[in-house]
Amino acid sequence: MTSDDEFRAWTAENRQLLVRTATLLTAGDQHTAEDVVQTTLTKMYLAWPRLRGVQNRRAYARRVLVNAFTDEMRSTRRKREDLRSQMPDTATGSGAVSDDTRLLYSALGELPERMRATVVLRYFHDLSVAETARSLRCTQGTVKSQTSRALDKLKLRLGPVLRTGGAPETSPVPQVPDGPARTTALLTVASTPTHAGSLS
Amino acid sequence: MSDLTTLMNRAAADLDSAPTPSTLDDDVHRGQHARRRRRGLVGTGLTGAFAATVAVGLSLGPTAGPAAAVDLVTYTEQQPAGFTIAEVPEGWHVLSSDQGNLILADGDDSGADANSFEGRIVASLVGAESLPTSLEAETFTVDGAETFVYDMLGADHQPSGTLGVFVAESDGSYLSVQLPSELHWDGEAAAQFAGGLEVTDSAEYSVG
Repeated sequence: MTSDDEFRAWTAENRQLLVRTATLLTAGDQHTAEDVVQTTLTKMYLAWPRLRGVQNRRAYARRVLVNAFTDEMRSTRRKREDLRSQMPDTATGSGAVSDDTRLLYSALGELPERMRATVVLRYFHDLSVAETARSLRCTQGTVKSQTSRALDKLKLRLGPVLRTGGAPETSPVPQVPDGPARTTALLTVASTPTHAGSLS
Repeated sequence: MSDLTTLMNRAAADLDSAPTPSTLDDDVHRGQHARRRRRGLVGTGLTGAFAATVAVGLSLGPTAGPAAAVDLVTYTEQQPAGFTIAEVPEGWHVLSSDQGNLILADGDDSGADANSFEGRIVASLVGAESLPTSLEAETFTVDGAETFVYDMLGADHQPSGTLGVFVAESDGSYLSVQLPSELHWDGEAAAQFAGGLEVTDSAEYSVG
């Protein structure tokens, strides 16, 4: 199997999850979500030779996805008001959109981007505080405070639709075996080899 | 009334996002295009830098004349781990090899201090991120592979006589080769030697 074949097979297995995550991150803006996923997959392709030895490619992809989402929001500074007005039409593909989903996207859209990413990783990906902190490259304290504030806002916005009760009850993400939830192997790969002499 | 996880799951389930074969093809093509573009940018930058080098009359390669250069001869010994070798400098042999590094030394090298690269040839597989962003290099095409040869600098930031070579691999990585001044090679000889080194599937990225 060539490197391209491996990448294609991995993408076939994981693309849907990336799209779903990106759609939640973009608060239902499916077009921007697709852009973010494409950017993520292109970066994954370029890194693929280095990722051959990485067991948990999904964790790496998650981090790339969040970065791509952050970059996308930073570069375009999309107008949230406009997005919100489009959400009911752009939030889904051919499937029907429930009122709860519309309300959820609307509520997510009112959260700051990093706060939104925090709750998506915590409650959709079922990541622990520590795992979320690693994905977002922030402290666990930041994850806790962002989560707490996000829940307060969502409760207020979603009202009776949202049942209060803290941590996720079930694992929302399909648990495809993909190794332990760490990407440290990649860090060693990125090191520049030490040779005698120096490069200009 | 639902918890947040259930709400998010329902929203995600509404999405018709299963990838089609065409979508997957597009993903691969975008990656291939990005890789070509990245290589093109690297190549352009290096070529431009080389043109500047020529314009100011500098030359790459050893200070000794070509007559002092060590000849290349066919490698006939057992192939090392991680690499295959077509030719070696006459009188040189494989000192050590593993999946990350290949080290060659001349016949006078006792093999002491295996961790020293001084006066030895070192070949490693590295990622594209290991390429310096600023580099004056000669470019060669050896068996279709883009090859960059450049002067490595000493502690005084002047060319030390040691040559560095990067050979682009098909998967986006690079074969990095360090050639000591004792070889007295010019860029063409360096590219020819590096072109005879093949990275096998068992080779791993060097992290030394």
